Amino acid sequence: MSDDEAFASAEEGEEEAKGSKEKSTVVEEQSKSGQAAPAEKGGAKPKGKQQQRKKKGKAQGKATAEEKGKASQKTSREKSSVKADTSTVQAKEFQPTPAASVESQAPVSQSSELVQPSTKDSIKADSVSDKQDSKHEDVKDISTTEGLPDTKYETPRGQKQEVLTDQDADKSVESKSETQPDKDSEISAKSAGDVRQSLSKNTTGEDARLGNSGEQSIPRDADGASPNSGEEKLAEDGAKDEGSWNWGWGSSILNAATNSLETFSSQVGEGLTTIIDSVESSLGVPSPEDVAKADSPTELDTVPGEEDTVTAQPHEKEASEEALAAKRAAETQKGEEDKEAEQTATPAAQEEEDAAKAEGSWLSGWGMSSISNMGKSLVNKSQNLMNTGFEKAENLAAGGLDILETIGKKTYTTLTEHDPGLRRAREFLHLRDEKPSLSSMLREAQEQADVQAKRDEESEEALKVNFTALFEDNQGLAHLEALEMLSNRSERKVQSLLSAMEEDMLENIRPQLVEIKDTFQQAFEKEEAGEESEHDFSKLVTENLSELHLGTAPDKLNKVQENVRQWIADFYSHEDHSEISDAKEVQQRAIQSLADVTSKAVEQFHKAGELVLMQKDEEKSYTHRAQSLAKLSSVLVTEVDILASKFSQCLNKIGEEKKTTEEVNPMVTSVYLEASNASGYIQDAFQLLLPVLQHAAIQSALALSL
Amino acid sequence: MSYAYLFKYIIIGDTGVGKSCLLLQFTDKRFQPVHDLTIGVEFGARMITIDGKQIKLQIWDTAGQESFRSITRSYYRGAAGALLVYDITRRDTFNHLTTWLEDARQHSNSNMVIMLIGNKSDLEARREVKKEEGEAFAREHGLIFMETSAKTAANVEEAFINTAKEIYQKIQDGVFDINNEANGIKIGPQHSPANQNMPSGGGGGNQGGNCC
Repeated sequence: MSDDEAFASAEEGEEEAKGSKEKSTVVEEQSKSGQAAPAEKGGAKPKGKQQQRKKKGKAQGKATAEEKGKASQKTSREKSSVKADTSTVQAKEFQPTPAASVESQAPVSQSSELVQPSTKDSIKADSVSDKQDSKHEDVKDISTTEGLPDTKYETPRGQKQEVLTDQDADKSVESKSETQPDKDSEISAKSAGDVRQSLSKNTTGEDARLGNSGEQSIPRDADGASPNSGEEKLAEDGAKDEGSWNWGWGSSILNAATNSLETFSSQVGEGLTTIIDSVESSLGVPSPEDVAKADSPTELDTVPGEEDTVTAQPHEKEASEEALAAKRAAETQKGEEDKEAEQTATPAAQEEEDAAKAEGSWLSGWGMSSISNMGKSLVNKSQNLMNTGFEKAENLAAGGLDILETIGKKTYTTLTEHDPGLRRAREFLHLRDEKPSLSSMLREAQEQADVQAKRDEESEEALKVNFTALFEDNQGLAHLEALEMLSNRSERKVQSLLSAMEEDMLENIRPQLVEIKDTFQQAFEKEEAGEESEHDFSKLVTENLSELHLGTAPDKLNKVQENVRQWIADFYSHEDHSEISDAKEVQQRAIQSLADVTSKAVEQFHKAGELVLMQKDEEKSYTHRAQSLAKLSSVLVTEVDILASKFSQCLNKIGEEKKTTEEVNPMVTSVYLEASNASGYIQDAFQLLLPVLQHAAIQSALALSL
Repeated sequence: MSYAYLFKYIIIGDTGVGKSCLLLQFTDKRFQPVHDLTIGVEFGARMITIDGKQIKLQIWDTAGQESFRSITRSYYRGAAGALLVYDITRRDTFNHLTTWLEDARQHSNSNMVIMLIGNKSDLEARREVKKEEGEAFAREHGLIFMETSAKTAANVEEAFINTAKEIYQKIQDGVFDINNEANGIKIGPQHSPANQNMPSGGGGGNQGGNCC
């Protein structure tokens, strides 16, 4: 229930505050210039606010266990904010920068709270002083004189609520009506504003509550008064009856629960108090009472309504101060008031205080009170304790996370401040023995440079004797590629033309196409049988090209071949071959020559193909042209073979003369290998011409048929 | 010798506009006033450097004659760049641009970079096509435009290199897939370790096989 109450009060905190102000001012009839605005505000809609509050109270009254959870969540949130406040206060001294960054909002809220309460404080203090005994005034004085205002504020809040709830519990016990305690507790919990209201209306009730200085008879009075004051509330709270039932007979169970919770919360509280103790001590606030107070707001802030704070203040202070004083002085000297005060304060503030200081004191206080009273108060207490427990656990968790975050941030900033880019940290983390010395680095660089140079040299050398590269450089590859494209296109054309061709036409042209195909296939066989006898290359080439009737001159091809032959002739003409060139040069020359010849051969075939497609010369049949091309390719392949063998002879001669046969042998092999490569290219180029010739044949046949 | 990329260019345009002269100027840095009629296609190659990378331009100089059109069309495929050339002293060569462009677009990949070149800018006195007209045509069809002179070498380098830059940019932008040779781009062989281990031989045989 206290959860609900807390929720309610939390929600209505502001409104209630206004309302209470208004009321208090009405009651006191004190016109303060600073309060004019709020008073007006409150005055404008005092009843409406009251009604609102009641409605809310109703809604909450309906709330059962499930809603509780909800409420507890919210309350916990509130608490966390409160906690944030306190933690920031602590953190200010502790770790200013991170705390500020992490909980940037906290200080703001804190300050706002600080501002608001102060005015209220004075108001309330006044009202309290007016209505209540000098005792309360003293308390007020104390509170005003206290060094830590915000902690004080919060402390009273929670405790006040507790006081009220306790009272209500008492009342309910006495009245024995199940509805009443709930209502009362609700009323009390809802807000101090209600209390205030009731107080202002019924002086008896007010007395009962505020003046519950010690006599147990007063609760009864209060009980009597409460129906009057709570008349409006009674109707609303009907819904909560069930809850109250449970509270009534389940008190024993709850008692047990309370005990366990108490131990838990006290343990937690101890931990917190120790922490806070240290913090406080560092802040220069030595008194443990303050610690208790500072602690209590965090946990007991179930009713954050600021009115509560106001009304509660006197009570709480009275209670705590007196209790502490009493405890310190002598436990035996406790008067009824003290006991009562202790009792009222018990739920949280005392628990912690006592846990931290003297357990016996609050136990004795317990013993003094009536059993029924105790049971009821236990119920309330258990609620509070549950809140407290949740709160504390959450506080601890949140606090732990905050601390971790703070530590992490601090660590990072510290590292980055002095070590930008975390270079040193990385170095540190890395194995130090990996750090290379300058000399080793230089040596490594030298080695790398050597390797690179060697590689470049090798690749350059390699390229010089790389047939493919040379073939590419001489545009042989490009011609072959172009010829391939041409061939592919012709092939497609042939397919499409044949498929679109009429039957008789197809029959006419088929023999020619087959003949061309046979010519190309036989060219292979012939070449295989071809021997390496010397031949008149340029004559044969020119002859065969002219047979094509394409008007192409084999100038380039013949010229290249001539040059190669000339070089070989020069080589042989010299007595001392090693004077002219070494084996490597001969090898390079050989491969270069082969690439040249092959490139020109492929180019020749390419041009022949293009021209075959271009020219509609019917003097020579395509079969005849195919035969000419076959012969040409044969001549070219033969020439390549002759060149290869001649170059090999040159290499061997050098090898013999220089006794470097072992060195020369792989070169000879490479020359023969490249020669076969060259032959391959030439034959490929030739074969690519088959579709081109077929295409040309079909074209001319179609042209003739038209 | 070694290169990072090889770009295939084609040079197209009416006969006599100076395609082969442009190529000769670019590859050999010389001008030949009388040039043989190109049969089918001729080739030229030159290394350039873009962004610190060696790039080999392999240029296919096509025959401009109408009778070769059907053959030259088959060479468009797989070109990364095209130089579409007209003669500023002959309006008909400018008027045929649309046909050439259609041909090029139809037979090549859509990402091909096309540079419009108004050649013979040295013959200002005989100019028939204003520079603005060329610019307008290029703008209209999304081409790069330049006026060049194969004779004076004015803008010749720029024409080839700017086209290469455009292609290179397209590679950087991921428009061209360099692993697809149909785009007219090949990755150079300089990094392949096979070259060092095989001064001659093996590779060539494979190449031969590829050509079938």
